Amino acid sequence: MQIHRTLFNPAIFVHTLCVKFANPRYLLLPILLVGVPAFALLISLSFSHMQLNDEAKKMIAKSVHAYISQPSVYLLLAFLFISDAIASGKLVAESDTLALLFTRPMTRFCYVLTRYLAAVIGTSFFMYCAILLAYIVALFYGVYTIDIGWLTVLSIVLSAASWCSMAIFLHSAAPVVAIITMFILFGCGGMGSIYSHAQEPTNAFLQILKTLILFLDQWFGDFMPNSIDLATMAAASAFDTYEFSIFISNIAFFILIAAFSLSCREFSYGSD
Amino acid sequence: MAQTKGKISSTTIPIWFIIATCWLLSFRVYAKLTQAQAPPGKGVAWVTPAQFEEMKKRPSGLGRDLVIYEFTADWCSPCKKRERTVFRAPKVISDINDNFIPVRVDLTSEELSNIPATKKLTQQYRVDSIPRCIITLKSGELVDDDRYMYGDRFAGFIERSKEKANNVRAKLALVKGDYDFAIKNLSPAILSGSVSLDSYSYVDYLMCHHLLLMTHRQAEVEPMMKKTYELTARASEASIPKEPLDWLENLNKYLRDQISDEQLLKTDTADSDIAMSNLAIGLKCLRLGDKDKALKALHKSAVLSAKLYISDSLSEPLAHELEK
Repeated sequence: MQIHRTLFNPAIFVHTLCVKFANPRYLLLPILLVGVPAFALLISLSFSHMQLNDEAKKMIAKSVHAYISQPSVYLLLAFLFISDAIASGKLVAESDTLALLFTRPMTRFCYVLTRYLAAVIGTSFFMYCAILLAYIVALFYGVYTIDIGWLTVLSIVLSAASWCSMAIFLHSAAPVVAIITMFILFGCGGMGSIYSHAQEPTNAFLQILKTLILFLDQWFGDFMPNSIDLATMAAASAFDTYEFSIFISNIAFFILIAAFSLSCREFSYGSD
Repeated sequence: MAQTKGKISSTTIPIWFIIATCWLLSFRVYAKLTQAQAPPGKGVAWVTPAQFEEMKKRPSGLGRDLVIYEFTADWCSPCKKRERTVFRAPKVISDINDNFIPVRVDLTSEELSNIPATKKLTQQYRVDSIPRCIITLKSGELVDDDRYMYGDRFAGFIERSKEKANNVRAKLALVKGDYDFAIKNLSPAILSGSVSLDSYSYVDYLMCHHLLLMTHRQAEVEPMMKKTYELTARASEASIPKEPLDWLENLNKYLRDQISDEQLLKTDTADSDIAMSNLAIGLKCLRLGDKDKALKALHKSAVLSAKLYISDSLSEPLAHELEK
């Protein structure tokens, strides 16, 4: 079979984005996630334990923005698109992956990139629907503080791009490799921030341990996807080149190791 | 895995993508290594605590009246973020270089933290976590304190601290008995009551009231109190949970001589309120010339404030001055 050099495969794109959701019951989970902020807003504004004035309503409505910077929501949505687990009803859902890989004349890099792009679009769409729904609920209460402008759209797309890159790596690598990699990366960041706040060690061993962990945190702790808050970035006094370089390089790095991991994996027809 | 000329396999990863990712990762390392360094001559002109001590000894003096201390460390990522975003903005840089003596206190290692000048500062201002930014007068009186300000909020913090510095100068002058100089330093907004009490402290409110009386501007006292109360009530309505206004009402009654010292103290339950009431009593006794009673009340206020790890920077120096 002649392998094509293309970077984008329409069939995989359509499959990732909509074909696997052909049965409406598979859309239940994303729709629930979309409804969470609007529902929370409705409850907060309707059944408050005290009389809410306009300022209080505005503050409650503004808190909806915290939802669109939640990594867990992005990860969950990204996983729904990238993995076939929901649609196939299997925990380890590689059936469609294999079918797509072996029946299309394309590189595994193309597969990774197409799935990633589709996941970014799908995740961003659902997240924007969530904020839009919350906006409509807020309008019923005469509150106009929820920002649905281009800065919010761009923030959502960039955050989705970041978290989908990690989701595509988790999906592409062998499960053990993926889990160990994430465990190490989370560990470096987590331990580092604990030690940053710790007091001076009392003995030489703890001092060495602290130095080692702070080194790991400094160089590997930020190898985690990060959400970008464009509203804060735009309001900042100076552009944060470093944070932006971390953001972009993390995406590229995760896509590269996802493609590499998938290329290293042996698939056989018997594995399904 | 990289593609070979003419032949392509399913496991091929485009070479341009590998190069682009490597370039981005290298740029990330470069950005990490240079993140704390501003371009030469274009950043904040930081000095070390030791250099600052040397500057104090110069016969020409320090020049500027305000000092900004930035407590930081190499391993502290929020500190680095402040360095990248806050201290690279032209407005902040010019503002700090023109109005402050900028002192960077490096706490990266135990060795650096134990330098006498550094240790003195961390102990004096009780620095237990970083990043921390402290603004003081050059004589050492605390003006303002900030822990996690980023972006445009820091520029506002710098601006506000310049105004707050005037209040601190006013307090110092009040302690020395130079009422005219003290009232000159108070902002016209506070004197006219155009700010609510959530924007500035009760201490400043009491100081303003005291100074107006001491400089024989009695006619301005009542309008100032009324306007401040109205604004505070309006701000309190908007806040969640609502700020209690009863305490301010009682304080105003006391300042208008409608209730006695005992009645004022009877309504207070929280230590902070008792401290403030004692300060009001102390200032009133000072006006009436009852120094013993004033000293007792000011002492009580200072002790209660210290218990709460706060300082109103008025009761303690006033008591100290009276003891002299």
